[in-house]
Amino acid sequence: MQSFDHLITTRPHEVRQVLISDLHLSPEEPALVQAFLALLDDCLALPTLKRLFILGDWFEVWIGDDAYLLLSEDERQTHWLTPLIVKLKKIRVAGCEILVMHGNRDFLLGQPFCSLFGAELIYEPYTLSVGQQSYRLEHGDALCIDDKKYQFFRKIMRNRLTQWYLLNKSLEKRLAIADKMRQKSQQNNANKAAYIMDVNEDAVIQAMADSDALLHGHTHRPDIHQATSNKKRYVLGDWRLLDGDTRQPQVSAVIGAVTADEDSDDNNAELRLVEFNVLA
Amino acid sequence: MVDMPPVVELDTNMGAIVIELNEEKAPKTVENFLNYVKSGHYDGTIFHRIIDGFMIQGGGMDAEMNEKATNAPVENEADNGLKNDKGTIAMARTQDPHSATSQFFVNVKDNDFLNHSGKNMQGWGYTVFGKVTSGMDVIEKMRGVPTGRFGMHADVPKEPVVINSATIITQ
Repeated sequence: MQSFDHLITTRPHEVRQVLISDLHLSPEEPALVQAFLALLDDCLALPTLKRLFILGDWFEVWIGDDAYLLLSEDERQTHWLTPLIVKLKKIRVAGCEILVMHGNRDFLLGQPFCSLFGAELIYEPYTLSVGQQSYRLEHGDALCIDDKKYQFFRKIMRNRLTQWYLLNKSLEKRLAIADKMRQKSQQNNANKAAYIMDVNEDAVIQAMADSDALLHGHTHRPDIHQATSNKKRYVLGDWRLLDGDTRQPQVSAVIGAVTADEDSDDNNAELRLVEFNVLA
Repeated sequence: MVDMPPVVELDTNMGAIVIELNEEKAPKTVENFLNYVKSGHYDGTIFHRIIDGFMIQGGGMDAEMNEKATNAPVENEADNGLKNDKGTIAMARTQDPHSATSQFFVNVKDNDFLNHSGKNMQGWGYTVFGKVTSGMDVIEKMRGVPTGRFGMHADVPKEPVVINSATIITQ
């Protein structure tokens, strides 16, 4: 797979859009946070970058925008999210749109938080035109229909009433609920067969009925699949810390990039998966 | 003495835009802007950076993309409570909060993230000093013009969007 570094150093003027997902950022994973900031620095150096898509599970957990929005200016100065917001704002001011989609971990992310850096909250499925093709973008968890337990849980969590109920609880209570949910999820996943935690092929074909291609994350199994005889399914990867115990840990992630020839009006734009690597 | 707010008209090759300046909330910025208007600085400059869904920026380059000489920078007044809402005019600047000179931009959307949030490098924001009172239809046309790269500049209109002249209508 081509490296993102190679792409941006050989053809920086052709990179129009960057798509990422499944970073699972948290203050407990500083290497992942730094890697994300490094990607943003790379984006800042791309002269014609028009859009950055963050397609779900950007954060390991999100208990509500108020956790950040209600902080005082002093508290924000030392908060782990602040450097991200500052850099994202720079990207937005440079003219690149930032589009954020919910994942199964950060479905409580709101537009108020996104507005801090001029980003727009988008909802799945999102249709993206790349050249002559129409891509369907979604997080991916809705396609894992074999995991009936999860789909039942998802239905409750994505319900407006549930979210209203959760957001009305104190931050402490929400943290406790989030912890419990994650524990339960880990226990359940340990007992699940691998196949039910991947997308269901029929669900994919049905979802792609009106699109030329599908792009999603969530499964942490980056690859390009031939979904039907003439339609491809692109899967973004999770952000991984490799060689964490060595002297040279690094973060690696399979991300998406849309490139187009200069002066082409994007008619021959194409999407590719590339490997983003950065030394931690 | 309470005067009527100053009003400036930009005569462009795509139509006229009339801007009412908020002297009360951004006195230094308005004074700075009017000085450039009076000296004829804006005549012949273009809107060299247009990003649909964001803003249109101009007042600093001529049609050949040469930067015009400017005066000393003006202090940032973004803590005046005015917001970067659609139709407002604000000062463009570099990373240095107090680096604005002649370039300005008109917001084509409510750009909350440009507002003042704190007196630090990241939070200073962009000074809003007036609003468009006539000619939003011209701005709507401008925001959609085809753009491309020009040297190291991005989002440059392929056909120059020229400010023929800037004049003070009332002061």
